[in-house]
Amino acid sequence: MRINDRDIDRRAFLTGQVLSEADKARRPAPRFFHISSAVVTVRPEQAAEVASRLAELPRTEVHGVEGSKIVIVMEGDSSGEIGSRLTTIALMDDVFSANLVFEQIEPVDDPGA
Amino acid sequence: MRGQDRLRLGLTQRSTALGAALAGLIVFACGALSQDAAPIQIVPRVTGEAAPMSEVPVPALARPVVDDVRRMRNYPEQPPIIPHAIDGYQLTVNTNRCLDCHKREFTEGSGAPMISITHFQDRDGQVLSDVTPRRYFCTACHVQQTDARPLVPNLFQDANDIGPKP
Amino acid sequence: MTLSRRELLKVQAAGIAAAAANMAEPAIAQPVSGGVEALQITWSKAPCRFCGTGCGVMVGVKSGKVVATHGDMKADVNRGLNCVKGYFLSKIMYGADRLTQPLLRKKDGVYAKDGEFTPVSWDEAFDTMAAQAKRVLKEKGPTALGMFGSGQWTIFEGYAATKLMRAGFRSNNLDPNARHCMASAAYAFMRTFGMDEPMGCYDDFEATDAFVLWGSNMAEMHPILWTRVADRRLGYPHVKVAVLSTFTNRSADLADIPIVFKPGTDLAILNYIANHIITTGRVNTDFVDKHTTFLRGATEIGYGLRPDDPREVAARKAEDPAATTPIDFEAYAAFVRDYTLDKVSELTGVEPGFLEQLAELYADPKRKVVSLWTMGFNQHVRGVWANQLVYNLHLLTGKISEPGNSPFSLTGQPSACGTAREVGTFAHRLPADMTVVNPEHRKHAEEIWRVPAGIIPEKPGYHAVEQDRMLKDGKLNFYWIQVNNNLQAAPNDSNETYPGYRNPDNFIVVSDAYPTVTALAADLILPAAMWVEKEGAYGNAERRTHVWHQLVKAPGEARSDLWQLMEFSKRFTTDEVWPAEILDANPNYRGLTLFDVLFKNGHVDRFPLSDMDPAYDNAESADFGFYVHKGLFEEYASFGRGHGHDLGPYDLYHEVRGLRWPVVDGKETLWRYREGLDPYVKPGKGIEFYGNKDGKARILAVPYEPPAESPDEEYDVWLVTGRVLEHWHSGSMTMRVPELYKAFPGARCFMNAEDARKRGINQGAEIRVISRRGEIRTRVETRGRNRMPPGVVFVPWFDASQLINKATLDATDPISKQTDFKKCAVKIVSV
Repeated sequence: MRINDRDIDRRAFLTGQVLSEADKARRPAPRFFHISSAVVTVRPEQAAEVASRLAELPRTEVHGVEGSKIVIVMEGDSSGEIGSRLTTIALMDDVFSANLVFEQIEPVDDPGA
Repeated sequence: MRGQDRLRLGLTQRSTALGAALAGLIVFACGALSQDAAPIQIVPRVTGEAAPMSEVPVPALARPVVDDVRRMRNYPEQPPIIPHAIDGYQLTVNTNRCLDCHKREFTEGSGAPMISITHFQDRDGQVLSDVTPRRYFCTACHVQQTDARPLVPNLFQDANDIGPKP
Repeated sequence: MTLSRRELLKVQAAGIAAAAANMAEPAIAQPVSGGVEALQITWSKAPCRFCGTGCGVMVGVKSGKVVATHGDMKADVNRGLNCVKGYFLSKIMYGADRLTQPLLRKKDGVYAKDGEFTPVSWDEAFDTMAAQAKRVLKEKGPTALGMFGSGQWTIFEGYAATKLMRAGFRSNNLDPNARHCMASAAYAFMRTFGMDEPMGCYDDFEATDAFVLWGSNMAEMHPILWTRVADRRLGYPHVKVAVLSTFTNRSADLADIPIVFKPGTDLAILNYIANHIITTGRVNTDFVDKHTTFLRGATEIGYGLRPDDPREVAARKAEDPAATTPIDFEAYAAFVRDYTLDKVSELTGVEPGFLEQLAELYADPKRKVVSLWTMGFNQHVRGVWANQLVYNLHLLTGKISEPGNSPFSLTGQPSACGTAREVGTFAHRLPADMTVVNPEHRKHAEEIWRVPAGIIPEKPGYHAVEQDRMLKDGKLNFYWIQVNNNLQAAPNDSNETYPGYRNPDNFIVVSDAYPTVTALAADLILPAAMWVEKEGAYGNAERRTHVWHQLVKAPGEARSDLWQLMEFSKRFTTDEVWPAEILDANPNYRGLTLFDVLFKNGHVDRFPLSDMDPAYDNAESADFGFYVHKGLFEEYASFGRGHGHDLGPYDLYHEVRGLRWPVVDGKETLWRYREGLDPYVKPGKGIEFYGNKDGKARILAVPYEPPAESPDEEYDVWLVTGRVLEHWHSGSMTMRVPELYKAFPGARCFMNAEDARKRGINQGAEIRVISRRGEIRTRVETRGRNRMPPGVVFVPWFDASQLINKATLDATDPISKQTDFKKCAVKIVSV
């Protein structure tokens, strides 16, 4: 949306905070990273083999295997990135389902940490 | 007196002038006093008055924090606080003003953080395509903050700051 | 963002996924800088410390400190959710002004009522306290000794307290602050069903077609139950929600039928609905004939004020407020016939259309309905009536004791049910719904407690408001307050509560974790361990008993209330506190301490320390040399087993997220009184209200009667007190959590904008709220979460710097003796 030749995002509009260009410059776009965990369900006898394949995926760690369930933790730069990796996993051979359980979004440079 | 300018310790030793010097520090002197057993005066920080039934002037209503700056959470499970104004936001059976910005489909335009994926699970742990109705009333967990200064310091420690260091 | 934080997040993310999948916590798959040790957080289960909902939380402990909490995915109550208070539980124990050693008022080195608080050892504290108790016992006898406990006591603490007071000191002057909270609900259960506590459970929420909130603001006060209501309402479009209140609150945001009525007139609405059910021919006659009987209650029963109060003299006509006489259905129908739509609409100020829609929720035989209430009904000069009138509606239509049809009394404290009611810490009660006035019940309790016959006194003790009056009048002289903040909570406190605490004849002891206003008005302050600093057990509103382990150590010399009660009992021998004739008849009890008689009695102390889970500390057991909690629990459980109050074996409770009693053959009971769902209903009965000997529930005919005090020309607005989401009760915990404090940093007076304008008061201005009893200074809020109708103001009571109970009236329900905090007259003026 543009008002008075300026770009106004939806949030700024709704919260009444119309920023000048100078304001925007002072506030750099935050960068975030995402940490998500998911439960992958497989046939119990194939769990170990699937787990080793999962561990080879980028930015993906296997945190536990028990019976037919595998807990994985994924890191990524966006929900979309993690989502598409989850879809890849769900479509892997011998995988019944892959459900996202938890997602934490953190600023990359957290001044408080 | 309670409010922003009060500088008294929660508990001070009568005989010393330490009170003013230690103001603002998170010191609780009681444990250290056991041996000399001098009387102490308890001024509860919550009221700022030693006399339990006394009447105190009331500071002006604190102003909501609306700087839009995200605050670090105390631990990952903590619901993030709301760093912007929510005056007059409708949050009813027909309208949810919070979702107008924080819903997945709107975050690109709004720049607001998307509602965490944890909110997409129903009571039985099934993952849904959208926010579960049980998470519909945002303000049960997410609260605004005001500029009031906490009356009582809290000694809670971040998990990273205690125990063996990496 | 440090690397370690990122690693920590990953471990926690994995932990949450593992919990969701019912797996053990996964091992860490990849090496972490600093080793696994650096991230090690031990997670254990516990119930939340706050309201009666009883959410399960997982508590993360690292290096002896609680570092995180989150909703327990495996807890049926909340399935992973917490409200904002619950999410900040990790901080409630770490307020900088925790009390860490006993403080005694002293002057010139000795105790003096007008002395100053001086740190003392536990020995000196207990020596002084015991000397004072013995002085009072000698001068006035056991009726001058009293104790005020709480629905926040763990089950063990309440049980130890009731034993110590009734069987040790032989005083029934034991009452919980639950008297202010749900005494009306408890009396109504007993009067209607002959047995306390709800027949249904929270699972009703997922099975019903309508929710009716009678005065309850669940959106703020029971937020997690509200998530279940919202889930049902938003997920199933046919579901309706009706919200009745004296002002528009957050719960009204979900309402299909929002109703704002004039304070006190809910009684008329309830009778109107009964009349509507009858006149439209929707009585479930089969159910009513088989399972109910009808009673008419005494009327003009007064207001529980001091007997010489002119209002009491004028209003009290009935000799026995609790009296009833049997009537039949026709007499009942004739009684409610007066409550016509027109008349009730005019009295209540509610639009007739809304009243009819509300009545239809109950009358429509195809619609299941859950009624929910808390303080609106219970803190009511006719609270027992209000509770019973809503049971009338469920009984007339047979909508009870099955999934989705449920009159459900919510509770405000974490163990209002588990401790105050089930353990029986009320002035007239014993465990498992027994009472001190019944000789059979006393005998049974004396047998289980292994004390001589005749030890438990038969006369009920002073109830909460009466205790304050007796302290002031000098008839109660030794008083121990645990786990509550009554100087902030009690009605008309500057006239009726504070003077008793500072009465020179009295010795007041307060056990607390923080310096509350009550603690500061005491003579001796005992520092208390709280929540997961001790092993505990709570019972929530749906009969769920939930046990937790001690997870961290209490700071300094703070000790649990249980330890305090048991250790104090060592300072008295039977010869000092029991009458000679009882000891003459039972000489083997001579020369023993109360600790020997009550706790180290060969029964409570029968479980060795080796029965404990070695992974957890247990301060009390380590001190006393046996597994105290298991011993107390198993003795207590023997009261209820086989009588419809069955609890499971203690060790089982450490494994599960609570169980709803009666627990029979290891299985919990979700719905009581219906065959197939409740093992206590005899085969072929269908429905059996077995708490009453005839197996039937009571339908009560009682009228609308006006409140004790209503606005007049001078005191021209109604004052309603209550709570806000961010703070719990007197705020002694939540005011010390910075995020909760900053979210709602002080009380304020919610007021109608037009009312404020007429008085020349602007939003945010400082005002005085003045009643005939007292006044406070506060600020005006004409916006925000509560929208007030003209003539009604709302002030929450969590703020110790604005003690609104200086203004409230100490009127109670004459049957339950529960205070009415919801209705008195005040005026509002600028400062």
